[in-house]
Amino acid sequence: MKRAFMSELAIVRTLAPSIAGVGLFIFVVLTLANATDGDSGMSAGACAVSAMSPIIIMNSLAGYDNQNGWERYRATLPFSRKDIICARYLCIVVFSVVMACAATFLNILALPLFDPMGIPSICQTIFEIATASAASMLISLMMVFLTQPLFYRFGHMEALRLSLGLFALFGCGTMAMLSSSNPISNWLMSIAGANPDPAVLSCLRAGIAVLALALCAISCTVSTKVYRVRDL
Amino acid sequence: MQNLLELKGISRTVSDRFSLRDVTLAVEPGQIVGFVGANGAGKTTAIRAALGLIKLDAGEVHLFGQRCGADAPDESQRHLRSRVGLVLDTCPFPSTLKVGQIEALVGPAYPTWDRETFAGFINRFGLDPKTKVKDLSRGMGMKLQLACALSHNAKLLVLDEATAGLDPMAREELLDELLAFVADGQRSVLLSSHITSDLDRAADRVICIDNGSIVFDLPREDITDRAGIAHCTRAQAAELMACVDGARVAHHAYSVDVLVPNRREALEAFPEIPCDRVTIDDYLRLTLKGASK
Repeated sequence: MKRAFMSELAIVRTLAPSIAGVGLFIFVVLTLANATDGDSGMSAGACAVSAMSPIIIMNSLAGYDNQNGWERYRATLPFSRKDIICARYLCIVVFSVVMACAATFLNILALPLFDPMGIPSICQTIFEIATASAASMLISLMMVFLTQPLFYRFGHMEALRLSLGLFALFGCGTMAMLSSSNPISNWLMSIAGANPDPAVLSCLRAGIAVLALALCAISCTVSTKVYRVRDL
Repeated sequence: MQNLLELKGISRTVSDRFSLRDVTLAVEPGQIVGFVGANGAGKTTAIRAALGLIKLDAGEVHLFGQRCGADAPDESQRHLRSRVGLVLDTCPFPSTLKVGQIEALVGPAYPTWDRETFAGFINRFGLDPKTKVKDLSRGMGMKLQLACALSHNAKLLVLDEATAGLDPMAREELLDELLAFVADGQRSVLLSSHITSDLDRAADRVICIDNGSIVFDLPREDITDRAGIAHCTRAQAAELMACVDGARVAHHAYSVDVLVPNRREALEAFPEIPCDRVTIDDYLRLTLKGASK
């Protein structure tokens, strides 16, 4: 699997500069636009970058698979299909974590610039930015894990259309869940409302991480099964 | 000696109109085996089956004496595939990558990858490491694949229509590389092509597939040295067909061509009928399109 991962990294290295460039642009725009909302708005840029990275890298790598029959050629290299799938998942996770860390770090570095706007560079703010960024990345990763088997079953273009539908469903479900009339939303607000306890936030983050990890394992297993029976 | 590649009665239904049917072939060490057939005859599908890219309905694939194929255990797939080099008709690397980056893409896959060998081939083939794959000509793309296929000490090279679209000089260079590759008698090449003039020069055996089934599997000499093509009248053709076993006939507007398995015997029996040497192209045409007795 390590060899397949190294091969995958060769492609990621070529993608990283352009994704980082887009990420930086979004980070700057969203941070400047939302900084006036106080410390909760301050993390918008980092959250956006953390959330978009898993989806962008998944689509970009799937696009590369589609180029010039690379997917078929790769299947003739001394990798098993399981190696290929596991390397892809690992690559998405590692890239997402690196991007989320970079965005969080950049946000923390930018905090002193916003002192005059009343946003203090204190541990509480830094903790909240890190937590929000990590949660954004994990939720986005969960969406990626949900759709990734579709890419191995139907190929890039078909899966792209299906994943958009799935993302839309996911978005609608989330909005419905968080609407004020929903008891789940009320329960969430009661434990992690306007000024949440850091311990509660940490628990929530750990819960999301466990959920994402479980989803990753299930998705990886399904993708491997799907990919093993597919003719290339 | 142990065959490097063996397909034993493999079958696979691909669609309602096409299936591989009981395909059996072997590639022995030190041989260049030409794999010929019309477009859509099943060459690429058979190669995909040999490389474990498609599941089989029946039959077995053996690489280096060990059972391989899509159902083989992961470890044996890794081990066996590391000794195979592949060259396809189009350059399969992502088009935005540069030539110099291809090593980082393919190299990690092979435990026996040799960076110096790869750099040597890149240099020798005149490939610029800064050129993007999408900017490579067809010939250069093929050379890049060949550099990858030859940089990990492969024992078996599989070329799927690799010479298609190449100019005569590039084809000549490729054939020279292939002849050098098998020179030690330990390594082999399976060369799928419908440009049969390449095989006239380089192949040791010629295997023909048509409509998913093997039509013939012969040493190249049996085709280019032993067989013959008789150019005769309809009456002569009828006489030849009646006397010669395995002859095949193709009628033209003003003449009749008869493929005979043994040119000398035909000349001795019918000295009045001119009988020329046959090219693989003629042999293929008459075998596939000609009528038998």
